[in-house]
Amino acid sequence: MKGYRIIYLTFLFLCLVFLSFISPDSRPGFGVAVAAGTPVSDSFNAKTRPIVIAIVPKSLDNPVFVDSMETAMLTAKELGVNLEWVAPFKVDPDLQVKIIEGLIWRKVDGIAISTSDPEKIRRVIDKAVAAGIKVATIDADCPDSKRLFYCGTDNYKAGWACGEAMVKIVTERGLADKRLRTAILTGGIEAHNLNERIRGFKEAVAGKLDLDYVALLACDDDTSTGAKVVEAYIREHPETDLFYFAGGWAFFGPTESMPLYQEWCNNGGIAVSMDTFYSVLQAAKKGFAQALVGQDFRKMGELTVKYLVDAVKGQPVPVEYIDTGLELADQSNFDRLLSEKKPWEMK
Amino acid sequence: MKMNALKSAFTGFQNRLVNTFNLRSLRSKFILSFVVLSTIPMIMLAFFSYGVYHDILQQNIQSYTSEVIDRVDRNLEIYLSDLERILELRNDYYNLQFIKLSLAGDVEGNRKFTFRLWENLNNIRNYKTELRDVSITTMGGVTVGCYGVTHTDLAQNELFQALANRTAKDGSIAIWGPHPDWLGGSVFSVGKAIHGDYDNFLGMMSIDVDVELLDRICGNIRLGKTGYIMLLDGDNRIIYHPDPELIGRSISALLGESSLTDWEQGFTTKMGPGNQLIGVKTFAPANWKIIGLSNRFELATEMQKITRLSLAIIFSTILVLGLMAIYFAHLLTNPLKELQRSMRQASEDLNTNAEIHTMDEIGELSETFNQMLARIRQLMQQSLQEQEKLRRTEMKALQEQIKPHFIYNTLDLIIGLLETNKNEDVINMVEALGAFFRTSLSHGQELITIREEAEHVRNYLYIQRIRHGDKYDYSIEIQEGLLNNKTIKLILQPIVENAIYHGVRELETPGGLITIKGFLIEASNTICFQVIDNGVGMEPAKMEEINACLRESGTEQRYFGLSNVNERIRLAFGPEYGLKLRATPGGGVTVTIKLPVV
Repeated sequence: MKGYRIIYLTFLFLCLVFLSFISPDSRPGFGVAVAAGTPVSDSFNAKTRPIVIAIVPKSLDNPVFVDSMETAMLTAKELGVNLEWVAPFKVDPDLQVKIIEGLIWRKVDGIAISTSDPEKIRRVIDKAVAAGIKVATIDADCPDSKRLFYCGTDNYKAGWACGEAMVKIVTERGLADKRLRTAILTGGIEAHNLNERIRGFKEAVAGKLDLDYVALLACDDDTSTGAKVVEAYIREHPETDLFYFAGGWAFFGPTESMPLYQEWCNNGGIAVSMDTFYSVLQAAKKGFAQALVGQDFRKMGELTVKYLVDAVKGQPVPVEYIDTGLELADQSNFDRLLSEKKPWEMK
Repeated sequence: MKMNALKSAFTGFQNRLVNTFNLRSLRSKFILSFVVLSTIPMIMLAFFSYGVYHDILQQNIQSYTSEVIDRVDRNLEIYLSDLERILELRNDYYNLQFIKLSLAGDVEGNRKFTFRLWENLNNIRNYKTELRDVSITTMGGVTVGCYGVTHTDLAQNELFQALANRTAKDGSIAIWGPHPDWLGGSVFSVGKAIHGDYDNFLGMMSIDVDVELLDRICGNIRLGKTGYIMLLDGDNRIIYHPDPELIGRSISALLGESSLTDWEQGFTTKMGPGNQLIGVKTFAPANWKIIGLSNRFELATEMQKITRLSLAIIFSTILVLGLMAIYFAHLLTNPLKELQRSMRQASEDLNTNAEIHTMDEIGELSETFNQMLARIRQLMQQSLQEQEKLRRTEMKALQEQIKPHFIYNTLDLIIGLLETNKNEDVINMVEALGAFFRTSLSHGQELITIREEAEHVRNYLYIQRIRHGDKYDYSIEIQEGLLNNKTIKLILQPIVENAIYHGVRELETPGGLITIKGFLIEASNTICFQVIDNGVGMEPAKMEEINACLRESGTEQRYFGLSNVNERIRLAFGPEYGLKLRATPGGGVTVTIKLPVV
């Protein structure tokens, strides 16, 4: 273990050295200015205003980010910087790109992005970096971009944890030797974080269960769409054996809108879901999922702002990959977690 | 004097006109008159129509420009009133809570309201496609809008500054002209202030409208072919122009400095550089100017078309009218020419006719001319016949004068007088006879003086009285004043002869008297001769028969002497003159001869 620790620390050090070299401020020849002709807002003159950190989630209507926003704002307040929370109201990668370009035009100091489509966002991240803006990713990473760091869940690990939970439940029910029809619900097909979760899930169950992946459903991170898609699928395919939710969208709203799914659960359907929000825990307690793997959105908001401000101030970011950890839940701790968490109460 | 000078000037002009255009023929005059009379009104009509049409066209352009500008004004106003209604939501509970918690720095408490506002504001934005953002901005510079939560530099935000400086009672909207939004678009912003419970200014609710809206309202409007609508802000900067490159520039770059003066609040029209017709109206809520620019060259082009068309119409009409005039002149003057030729021919030869068969006045004139010619020919024929007849009756009258037995008897009488040595009587007798025949012949003259006629009858009576002895006497009483008047010759002698042979000679006793009177009837200006005898007279029936015979012409075969005289008088002077018999009171016959005063 000691040897691993030394290797890990050496790796981190090298990373920091490397990062310091690739920083736009220091890297010669990389100081590409904002695209020629791009107007710059006078109202955001860096010399006369406090540091501005902008966080761009995938959408505004997704309540999973509310906790992150709250901690991010509190952290910003503590650090004496302005925090902006901007995004398309609903998931829209093109509009997200436009919003990031707007932030570049306004010359904010730091941007954290929850990438809805890495292919589209990568270019604009690089553009922002080229413009001297510290860019990080939050919740959903954008691999191969020039972002400074990623702060969020290790989605592969999260998926792996879900897979392990699924193996445990299936085995306990004595179905491990059967071929099981499995459906997956994701947010966006292109979302890297979700795809990582799915990959982790599949690799965790591989060799332990015989799963037949019969459907990959997408709900564009929309809560009501998530519930409708699942309900419609179960209506058509009640023979499904397992359901893996790469996010808890279907359980953010009232579960009364999913009677067929509830019936499917009551008839022995097994479901494992990401997220341990209050509403998801409530649904799981009712039997809508047998195990949950949660993310720490509060930590995401807090750390993202903290490290971005550090970066803006020229201080190094300790690691490129900031893992905010996982939270495992099952029948054994549903009640405790419910007592610790509070509902969103957005409506 | 003036009238005379005017008259002479007009005559001079007329003569020059006649000489210049060779207007001597009726045809030329007619053609010129026709063309001039029909062309002048047309040219006047074209001239005045041109002016009137030009004015109407210009008025129409102005009126259309004004209408279009009004429409733009209304559309902007309607749109703005819609936004104003949306902004009435500014005092919504969630808005106020968000502002209060934001100002208080309560991040945790505000997350519920933030989330709710995102939803609400996005719903509002979706009402209209041109809305880019709807937001609430607090006094602390925090803005919650459709794209999340941002920070606003309030000092740079004109809208916020405008609203912050207003009183709480002023609930009107404020407009911030076109400016870039942070998403890279160009917007104009409309906002209303949000006040707290104590009328304290808390912030504002604002709506960012894509300037694309201005293009939607103004872009499709065309004033003529090249005219258009543009908008200026309060600083006379172009905020909308069909050419996007001009947006943001000062109007003076487009229209010159002079065009910026004397623009009033209401609608005004004026001429701009480059013959541009400029209509201006101020859109009061935003203090924008709506400007309609139309090109007057288009008006000129339109007018050129009309001018060309008018000239083409005028010239073709003149051509057609000229041809028509020639045709009508030909139609009108050809019969006249034919009539003229016929008249000229008739002046040389009356046995001709005008061969004109038109149904008009010239036709009638020609027919009348032909009738006149026929009448002339008839009268000439009649005159010839009457002259012939006159000569014949004269000849007969002359023959009657020189009857052989009259001469023989007279000569026998002269011989008797010679045998009785009455030389004096012979001399008188021969003189009387000579004078008698001299008058009878009168050198072929038809008319002689009454004096000569009276002398002629006196010679005759002298001879006859010597022949017939003292069986009757005679007297000649002719007014002295009539003696020099003219009469046809040999009218009294035949009457006197009848009075002798059928009147006084038949008396059984001497005492016969033949009286010849001549006098003027002044009332009818008629010369009247009366041959009165106191002879045996005649039966009334016979007298009536003779009178009837005298009233009818051509009956000279009977009662030759009377008829011959009567016929000659009527041939010479007309049927109202002639002889009439009546009985002399106390016996005998009175023959009355009526003659004109010649």
